[in-house]
Amino acid sequence: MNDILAVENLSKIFMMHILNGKVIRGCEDISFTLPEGESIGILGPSGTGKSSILKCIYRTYIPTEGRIVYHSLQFGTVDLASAPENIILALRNTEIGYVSQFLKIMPRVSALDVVAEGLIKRGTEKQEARYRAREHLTRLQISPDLWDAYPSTFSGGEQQRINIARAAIVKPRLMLLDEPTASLDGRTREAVIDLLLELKREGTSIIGIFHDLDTMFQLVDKTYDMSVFDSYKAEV
Amino acid sequence: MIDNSTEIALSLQGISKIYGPSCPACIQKTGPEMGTNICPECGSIVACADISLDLHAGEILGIVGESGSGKSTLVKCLYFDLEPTYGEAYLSYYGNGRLNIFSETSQKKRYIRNHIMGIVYQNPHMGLRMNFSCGGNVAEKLLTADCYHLGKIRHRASELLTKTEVPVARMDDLPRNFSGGMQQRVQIAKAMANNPPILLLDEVTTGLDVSVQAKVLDLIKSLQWELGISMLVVSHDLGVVRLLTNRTAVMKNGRIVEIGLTDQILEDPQHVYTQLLINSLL
Repeated sequence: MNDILAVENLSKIFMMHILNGKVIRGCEDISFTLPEGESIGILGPSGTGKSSILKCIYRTYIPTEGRIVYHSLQFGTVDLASAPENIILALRNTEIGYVSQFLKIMPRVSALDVVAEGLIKRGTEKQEARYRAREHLTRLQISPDLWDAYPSTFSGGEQQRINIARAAIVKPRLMLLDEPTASLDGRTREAVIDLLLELKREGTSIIGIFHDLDTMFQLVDKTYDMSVFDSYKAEV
Repeated sequence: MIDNSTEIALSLQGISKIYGPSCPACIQKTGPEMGTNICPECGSIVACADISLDLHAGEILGIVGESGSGKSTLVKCLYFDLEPTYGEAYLSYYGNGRLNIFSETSQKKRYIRNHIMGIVYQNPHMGLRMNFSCGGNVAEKLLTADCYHLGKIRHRASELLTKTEVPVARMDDLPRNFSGGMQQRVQIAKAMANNPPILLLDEVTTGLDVSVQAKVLDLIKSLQWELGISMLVVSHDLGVVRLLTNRTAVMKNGRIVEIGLTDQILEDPQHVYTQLLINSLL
């Protein structure tokens, strides 16, 4: 299998100008590869920069050093660390999905429309998109009473499942998961794992951070261990 | 000029606006590093300097910055309300993206303004004629865009007012008698009348109370969603920019200090001023 993604010597350092130039290390010298269709779990204690890696790949953070080589269908080989913003936006729209730890979405949009949005953006008919959104919501055990309500009022676990549903519905080629099952109970966690396994079978490559190892080992083919890295080094 | 293979709707290249005599030192001795807009040599005010950016087709691009950073000056230059001192701008919808719109004749500029662009100002008094009915205001924009059929004009006006949630029954009332939020929605209807591919929005929700602000923002979002209009959204409010845009430019002392993906600007700001701005969020 060819690699869909290769992270090469990635480092992220935050320069806090407002704290007189204090330097905070996000992650340092990260390298790993991900073969297409496989999944990798990032392991390590809290604060070691696991989320920073995902955010660098999604370009919410601008990497300080290193390359993130992604093999896209649309543009060929792209270095996500330095690609122009419109390429990144196009890839986010069509190939790369991201499930953040916390749901951040438009206020005043119903749960059903939040989930359907990605499909409509890609040109699916509204009716069809809503139909598929209902399927996903049912599958992730969101009560039909909530479908036309606003997710900002939902419980933590419900919000998390909405977040997963909206990313999974478009079947991205590369899925970045930041603690997707953190606030779920056993039954709903199973539903989420089931959905993610199905995505994987259909070819989605996954990079994930999981707080419980049980979930992780059901989903990943290999792990990347960051526990050797010490993030509490801060320099002035 | 704009390369037609790219999906750029509007390209700004090195736009500067200087008030006063202006000397060779003006640009060098002002800006965020100097912390001032006033040239120490000649006293000219550099409202904005060397602004270059591309607006992609169907994109909403945000411009944030404190008051006095030159945001409105830039928008007013684009709508020909002000004449830039230096700089060029190209529209993919005009002359195949090869003609600098600032060096066109005033007749051509009027054409661009009436057919290709729409603007919504912070102050409805600038965008609306308060003593003409709100239907008349929409009609004005349609007339300038060569639509003279009265029936069609009334039909289009009621269509737009419905879309912007202004009761059609009040089409013949004066905007003077409307609330601020309603005036703003009439202004949006007017700006949209000629189906412009580019819409300039200058602090459209500033001064509105939050529930009305939410309505106006939802309207803008849905217009972009349905019609794919390219928009330049100027705001000092990061919340507005987060809600509406994919990319954001940050301005300070008349310069763009940082431009990037909106989530990156919010979570990983690079420039000193952007970090200060993000940390000033409530």
